[in-house]
Amino acid sequence: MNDSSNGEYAIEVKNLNKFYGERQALRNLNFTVKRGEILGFLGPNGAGKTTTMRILTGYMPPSSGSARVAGYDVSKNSLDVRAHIGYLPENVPLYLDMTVADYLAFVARLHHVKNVDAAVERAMELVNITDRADSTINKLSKGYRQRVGIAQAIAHEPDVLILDEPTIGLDPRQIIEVRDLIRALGKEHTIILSTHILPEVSQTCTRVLIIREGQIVAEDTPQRLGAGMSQSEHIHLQVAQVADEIPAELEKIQGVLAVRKIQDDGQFEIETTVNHDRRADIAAMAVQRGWGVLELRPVRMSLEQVFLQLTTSEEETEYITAPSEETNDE
Amino acid sequence: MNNVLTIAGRELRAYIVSPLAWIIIALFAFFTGFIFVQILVASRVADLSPMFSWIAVLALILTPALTMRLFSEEYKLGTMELLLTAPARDWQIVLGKFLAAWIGFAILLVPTLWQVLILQRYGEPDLGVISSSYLGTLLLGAAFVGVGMFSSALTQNQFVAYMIGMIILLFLWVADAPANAMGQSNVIADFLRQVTLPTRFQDFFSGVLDSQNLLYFVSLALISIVVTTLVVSSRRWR
Repeated sequence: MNDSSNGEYAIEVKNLNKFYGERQALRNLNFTVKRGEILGFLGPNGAGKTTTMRILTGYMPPSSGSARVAGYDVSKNSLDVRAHIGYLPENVPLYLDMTVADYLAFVARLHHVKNVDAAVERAMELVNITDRADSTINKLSKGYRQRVGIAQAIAHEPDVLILDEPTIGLDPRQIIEVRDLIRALGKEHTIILSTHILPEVSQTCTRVLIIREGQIVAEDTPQRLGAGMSQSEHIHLQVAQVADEIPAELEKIQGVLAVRKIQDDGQFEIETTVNHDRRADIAAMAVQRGWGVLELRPVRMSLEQVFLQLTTSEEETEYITAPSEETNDE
Repeated sequence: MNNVLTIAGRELRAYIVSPLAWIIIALFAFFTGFIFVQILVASRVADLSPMFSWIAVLALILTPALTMRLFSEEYKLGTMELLLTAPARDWQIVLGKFLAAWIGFAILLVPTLWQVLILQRYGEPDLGVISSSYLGTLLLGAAFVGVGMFSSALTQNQFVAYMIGMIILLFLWVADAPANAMGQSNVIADFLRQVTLPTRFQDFFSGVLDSQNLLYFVSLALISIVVTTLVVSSRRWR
């Protein structure tokens, strides 16, 4: 028996610090990942995502603090940790002159897999590349290469999967495929994936950890992060009969802080105090005045807005806009 | 040991599919054959020892080409991260690569065995000298492969790796030149004379087995393996 069958947590990180010379890449990082979770690791480039992953995979030790993966300490039992994780680095580590099957067999052997052929077969089936088993990797498209990279990470059936930017550089269809694959893998593995693409997190992860300058700035489910961050709630209202009196009238309702006209075709955004749903009051008034309600819905702060709010300090606003570029890719 | 063999196996496979390895084998076979004929025609003596001196020169030029990709390519492809996060120790990775390249070096010598057969057929060569020459060449190969592997671990640029390896070997080759200029009783000069390559392999080629020479090549190979392991491990404290 190994330690990994005990304990609730697949990953426990305590007071983790990492210095590169003078520069501090991680500042007192603390988090845990439960078995079976898919944790999204979100942050701008250079926030410390890759550094954290490299520590968790035993690639390099932390400067101070401790991390346990699958029950093993990364500093003291590095080899045990490495035996229990599957890792897909950001630059997919492929030997371009090998065939897919040979490459996977090599990785499986390196992980001391007993039945190499069966493991390779299984991994190729999971990521759906069996038809390319005998193709040389340099002849494969980017999407296929990514799948080979994931196959490599799961070939030895690790407890924990660590995926660094698993969808980077893929086209939208491939991104969807890889995300579906990750969700499917999440049924059997604990997964940490890093990304700076936000829809990825809301679509694949059960929990999000936002990291900035080596520190965790938020930690929750994608839904709660979206809901809980705002100081006020917003309601979107669209009416058929446009009248100038509408904003003034709406502001008379208790709890309504402000009303803003979005467009002349009768769309308004109503800001209300937190935790008091005013939709019934608004609907009642609209019916009473005969405005003709076309749409009435709460507006959640998108994960993007949360992310920007958390990871942006005012002087670096411009720099931080980069991550949102890729948010329209589906 | 399993890890070492897994790594070595992949490296040998990589040699087989790489055009560079075949070019090196072809060049080596061509030049040794050419030199063999020249020497034989000129001397008409069934003696391979002049040829082995040339093999050493060829090894100086071609071994760094054989080893330059060992680590540089892994850095470039990003596969180093795969190896270093696999349950294998750094020294096992280094040793696996060393073994593969050394076996590759030994394969270079296979075509020259043909020349031994020719001498056997038409003359009476001293098989003892020939055996010690091959032993010397294999030991020299281990040292050259070690130095080449070390320089490959320093950079992701294969050409730079080749040049560094070649420069270190060239320095060892001519180390006695500055020593002689320095005079007789000088600690540095003595050291430089000790590390000079040609005096070490010439004994083997004339059939003299000296444990000091054996120790020299084995130490050079071992030091290379240890230092390369340190380079690979340096990510931990950088």
